[in-house]
Amino acid sequence: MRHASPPQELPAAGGEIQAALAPATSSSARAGARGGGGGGGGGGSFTALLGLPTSQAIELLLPRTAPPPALALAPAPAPAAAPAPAFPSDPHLVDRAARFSTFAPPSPSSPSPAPPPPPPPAAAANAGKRKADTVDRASKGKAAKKGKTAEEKPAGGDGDDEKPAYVHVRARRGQATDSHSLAERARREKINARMELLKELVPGCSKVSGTALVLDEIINHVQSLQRQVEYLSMRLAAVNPRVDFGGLDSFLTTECGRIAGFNCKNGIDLEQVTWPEMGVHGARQLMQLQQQFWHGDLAHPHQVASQWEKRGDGHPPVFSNSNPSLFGYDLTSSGTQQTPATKLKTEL
Amino acid sequence: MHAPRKFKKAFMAQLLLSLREAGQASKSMGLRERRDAVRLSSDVAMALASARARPSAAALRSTAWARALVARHAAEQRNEALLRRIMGGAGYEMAAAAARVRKEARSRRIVRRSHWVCSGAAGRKRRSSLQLAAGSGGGGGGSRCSAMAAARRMVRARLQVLRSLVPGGEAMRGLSLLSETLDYVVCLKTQVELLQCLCKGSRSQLG
Repeated sequence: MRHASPPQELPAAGGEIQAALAPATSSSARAGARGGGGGGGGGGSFTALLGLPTSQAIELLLPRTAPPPALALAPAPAPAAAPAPAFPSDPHLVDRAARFSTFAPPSPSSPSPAPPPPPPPAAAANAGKRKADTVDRASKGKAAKKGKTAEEKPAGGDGDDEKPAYVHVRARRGQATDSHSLAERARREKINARMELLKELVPGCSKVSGTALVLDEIINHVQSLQRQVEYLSMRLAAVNPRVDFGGLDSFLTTECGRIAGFNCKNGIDLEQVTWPEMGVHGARQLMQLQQQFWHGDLAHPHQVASQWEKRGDGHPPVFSNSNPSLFGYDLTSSGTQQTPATKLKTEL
Repeated sequence: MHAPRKFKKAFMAQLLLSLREAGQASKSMGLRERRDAVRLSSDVAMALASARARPSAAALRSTAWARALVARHAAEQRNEALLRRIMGGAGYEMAAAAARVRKEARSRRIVRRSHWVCSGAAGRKRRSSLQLAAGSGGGGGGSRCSAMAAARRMVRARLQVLRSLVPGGEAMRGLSLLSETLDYVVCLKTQVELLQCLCKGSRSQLG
C-alpha cells in the first residue's frame, strides 16, 4: 500500500519511517510497528527501513532522486552549468556553499515546482543560500573586493533547460576582457570554491594558505582515513571469529544507532526472525541499488518496484531474471540502453 | 554538515547485509582474508549507499569513485564469489564490465602519455605551464612567473598523488577531481565512524 499523503519530507528520518510504516503491508514491518512505539531509543531504524517493502522505500527515495533540472542540466555542455551536475552530493554541500557568493547554486531544483521539493532543511538552506548569495553579491559588488558577479538566469531552474544558464561576469578593473580569460577566471573561481569546501572538511586546513599545502593536508587526511578503515576492518575481523553478524543486529541498532546519531525514533523490537526476512527484502533493495548504481535511471524504479510488489513475500531472492534489459551502463552491446535514456528524456 | 542521515542508515544497512553475506561465504578463513572480506563488503556498502542516498548524483549516475571502487574490487578474482553474493549476479557483471573498461582506458592512457612524452613534448609542457602560470598570475608581473610555475608544478604533483588515492581518479582532471575528493572524504569519514561503531558494539556484546 502506498501512503496516501504525498511523501512528506520530515526532518527526522524516523518520522518518515513511521509515516511509511503505518500503512505498511509487509509482515515484518507490521510486527515491528506493533511492537514499537516508544521503545528502545534510536535503534532499529534501519531494520525498519529494510523491512519496508521496496515500493515504499523507493517512494521515499524517489522524490529526492528526481530533480529534473539537474537531469536536464547534465547534458548541457556549458561550463556555467557544470557546477550543478558536477557536484556529487547535494544536501551537505548546499549548506556549506551558502557562504560562497560566486558559487553557482547547485540545486536549481529548489525553484522547480512539479517534483516534490527537496527536504525542508535543504529547501530552507537553498532559500537562505539564495538570499545569502544575493546579499553577498550586493555587498561584494559594492565593496568591489571582487569585481565579478555571477548572476544566473532564473530560467536555469525551470523545466526547459536545454540551454545552459548564462553566467554574467563583470571583468575586474585592469583585467583583460576577452572571453578566454573570463572563462578561465570562472573556472578558477569554481576551483577556489571547491578548495574552500575541502578546507572546511579537512581538519587543520584553515590555517594553511595556498593550494599546494592544502592539497598536502587533504592527501594526508585521505591516507589516514584509508589506513583507519583498514585497521578497523582488521579489528572487526579479529573480534568476530566467524564474521557472523547475525546476532549483533539488535544490540547494534540500539547502541550504534544512538552513537552514530541516527536519531531515529523507532522502537521496533528486533527478533531473530526479522533477520532472515530482512534478507529477502534486502535482496530486493540490493537489486534496486544495483540499477540505480549502474546507470542511475529513474524511470526504472517504478517498473521494478511494481514487479516486485507482484511477487509474494516468500519468494527467494532471484537475481538472475531481474531486468537484464535495463542494464546499459557503458556497454555498447544492445540498443536497450538507449530506450531507458530516451524514455527519461521524454519524461522530462 | 557531514553525511546525511539517510546515507548513514543506508550505509549501515548495506554494511550489515554484506557482512552477513561475507560471513556465510567463508566458514574458515585466515585473518587476512577475513579482513579483506570485511573491507570489501564495507566498500561495496559505501558505494551502494552513496548511490542510493545521494539524489543529485543518482540523477545522472552514481559517483565516479563509487563505481571505480567496486570495479577495482571486482577485478580481483578471489573476490568474485563474495561480490556475486553481495551484489547479485547481474550487478557483478556490471562491475566486471566496468573493470574491463577501466583497464582498457588506463592502458590507452598510458600509451598515449608515452607517445606524448617521447615526441619531445617536454618543451611544450614547459611552455604551456609557463603560459598557465602567466595566466594565473594575471598580469602580476613577469618576475613572479617562475614562482608561479613552481607553485603550479607543486600543485600538479599533489594532484597526481590525489588521483592515485581517490578511486577512479585517473580519468579526471581538475574540477571533477576535487568534487570527487570531496564526496569521497565524506564517505570515508562515515565509513570510519560506522566501522568504529560496529567494533565497539561487537566487542561489548561478546566480551
